[in-house]
Amino acid sequence: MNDEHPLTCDHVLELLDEYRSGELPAESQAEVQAHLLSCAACAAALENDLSLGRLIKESINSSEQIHAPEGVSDRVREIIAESVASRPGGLHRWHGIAAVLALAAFIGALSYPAIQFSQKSRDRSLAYEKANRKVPASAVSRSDSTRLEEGGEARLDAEIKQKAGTDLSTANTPSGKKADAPAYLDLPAVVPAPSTQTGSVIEKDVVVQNVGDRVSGYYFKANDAEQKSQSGTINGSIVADQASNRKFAQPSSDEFQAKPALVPAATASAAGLAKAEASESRTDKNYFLFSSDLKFQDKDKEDRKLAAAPAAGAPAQQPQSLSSTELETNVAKLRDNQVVGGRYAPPRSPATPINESLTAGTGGQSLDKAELSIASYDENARAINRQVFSTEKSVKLAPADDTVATQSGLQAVLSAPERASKVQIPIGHTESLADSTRLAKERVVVAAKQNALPAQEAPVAAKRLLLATTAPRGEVFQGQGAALPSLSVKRESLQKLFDETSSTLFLKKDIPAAAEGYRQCLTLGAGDVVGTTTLLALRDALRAAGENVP
Amino acid sequence: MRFDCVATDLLERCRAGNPDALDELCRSIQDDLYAFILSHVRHTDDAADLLQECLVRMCRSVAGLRDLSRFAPWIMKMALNVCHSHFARPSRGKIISVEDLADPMEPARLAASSVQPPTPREATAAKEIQLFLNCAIKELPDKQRTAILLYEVEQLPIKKIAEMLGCSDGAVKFNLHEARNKLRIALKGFTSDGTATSEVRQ
Repeated sequence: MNDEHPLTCDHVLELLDEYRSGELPAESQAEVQAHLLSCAACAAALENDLSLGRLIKESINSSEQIHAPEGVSDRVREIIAESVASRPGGLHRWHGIAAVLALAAFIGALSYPAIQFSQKSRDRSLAYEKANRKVPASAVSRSDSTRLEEGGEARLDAEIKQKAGTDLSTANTPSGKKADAPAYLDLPAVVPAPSTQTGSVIEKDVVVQNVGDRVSGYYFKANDAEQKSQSGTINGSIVADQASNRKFAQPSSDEFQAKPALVPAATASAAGLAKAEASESRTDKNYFLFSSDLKFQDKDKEDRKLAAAPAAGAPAQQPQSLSSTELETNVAKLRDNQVVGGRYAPPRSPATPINESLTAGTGGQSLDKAELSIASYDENARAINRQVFSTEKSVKLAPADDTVATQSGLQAVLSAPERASKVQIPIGHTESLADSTRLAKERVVVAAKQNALPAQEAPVAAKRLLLATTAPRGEVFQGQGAALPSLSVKRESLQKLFDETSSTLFLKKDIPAAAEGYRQCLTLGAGDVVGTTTLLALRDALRAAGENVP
Repeated sequence: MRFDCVATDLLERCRAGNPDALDELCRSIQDDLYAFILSHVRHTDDAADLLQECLVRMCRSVAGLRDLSRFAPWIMKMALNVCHSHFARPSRGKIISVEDLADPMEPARLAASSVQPPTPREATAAKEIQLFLNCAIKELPDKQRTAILLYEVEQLPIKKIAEMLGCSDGAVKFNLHEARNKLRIALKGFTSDGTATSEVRQ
């Protein structure tokens, strides 16, 4: 570089990294330095890079303050010693791999006949069940369909007809009548009597008959069309579905809280459990809660899964209207925290009049089972909200109309932000958690864009809305606001702000700074995060120190 | 540069398979290695796991190190590979905890510090920036993240970074440029005093 070819800004900007690390030749280094002294834009760019670099370095602390966890070297030494000890002296690594491959080939050769036999057995079962219209098209995999379509069906049907009679009895599906969904876990119904129940459930070692009985560890045995025995265990209690006159095994509440598995009614059978666990069944109105630790010992797992699929064309279970007597019974059960319609009813606040909420929730219309469930569910959700968030009386919302309830809650947030923490908004169980979260976020963002809500309040309001929307499903206990990362960050910030304020007060004894921190906690709604009582304790401490804080 | 303080005779003994020497080597570099890994993964638990993994790898392969003078880039490259493997795993989406990285309100340090401590608002704002920055760094592509951390934190020259990454000097500078741009975009909403604007908060 020389005076005839002075450095341009573009060139200097390209060389900034080398200039910073001192990699340029001395002459170039001096020229860049001279340019930086004369050019404010390039100097600003350098300063920009330097400040970002400082920020990156500060974000992980300086290396002098970082120490490796204790005992790492010892563990490494143990690992190395173990690996040396476990490695045979002269055996090369490839010898081991070759041995594993040889063993795998040997096992494969042995298991090939068994696989063939299993495939044949499955073909027969599929063909038979297809002939009896027990297997819906969706339950047959593509490979199964292909095999059946490739001429195997006719052959297998012929085989089945030959062997029919005693082996494949049609006792449970007489004279072409479509088979009902298997009732592996259904206990005998109260009405009608077990002897007339379709599905011919055979009891063995079953001693439970009444609602409320415990069923921990009992075995149920049932026969299906193929006379294949099924058995299973369940821990819980017996509950009644008044509408369908059936009894179900219901896991105990502590199991539900520990590890719930929601099983839709259509697949509420032993074999449908795995399928149901994987599916989003929250939108199903008739679901039953089963303990996820159900264990079944079956002879043929595949056949059981297919047999458990609902019969094609089987009539769906329809909600039935209740008479006034039945309605009163259900209300009484709700009051006693029992399960109605297969729903789990968490404990309600004893002070809440259930009849009022039912009337308010349905607008005076006639109550059927579904409405009753919705009303009780939302009522319970609000009770949970009150227990979790505040002891204050919540804003009265229409429990049966989710949209109206949400809009009412949003209006309450917009009109009185200072009261927003007291607004609990029940979102209907017909929406999934993801939908609720998305809707809540969208609504608040829209409100903020319309200047209906101060922009800086939007995240806080969104967080409150989110907490309220997640609360009815109990997710609030598992981490408030964790579903939305940005709000989670905000939540962390509020927690830290409170922590800093506490430290300022109690460790540094800087009362004015702590008072300022407390005011910010109050403004930003940190009470929602750390708890109102905790925040009030801080306020009391500040007042005791002579600060006049609100 | 880190790891430059390792004595050659110690490396010689390690290469000969002396268990005590390996143990001594592990102890001498573990802090530097931990800091190096932590700067990349930004999570103390993950960094501790990766440190152990890296030390085990080192003990198993140090016998194959031909040029002992190149131990520093060798171990750093190994650590980078371990970190990249970590980021490639499906469990990458962990939540970062900034508390793991720094705790400015530690009572002992507060008492010892003569500098005016930050106000609660300043401290909170600083932590918020750290959180955003950590997230942004973790979101960078592997090469850009490695380049920016080796340059800004380890303060390695461009040529050494290029050597470690197996690319040209120009590629390193391009990665640095891209990484800076992305980090600036991530921090765009923060004002000079560290407070977040509504844009960032939203």
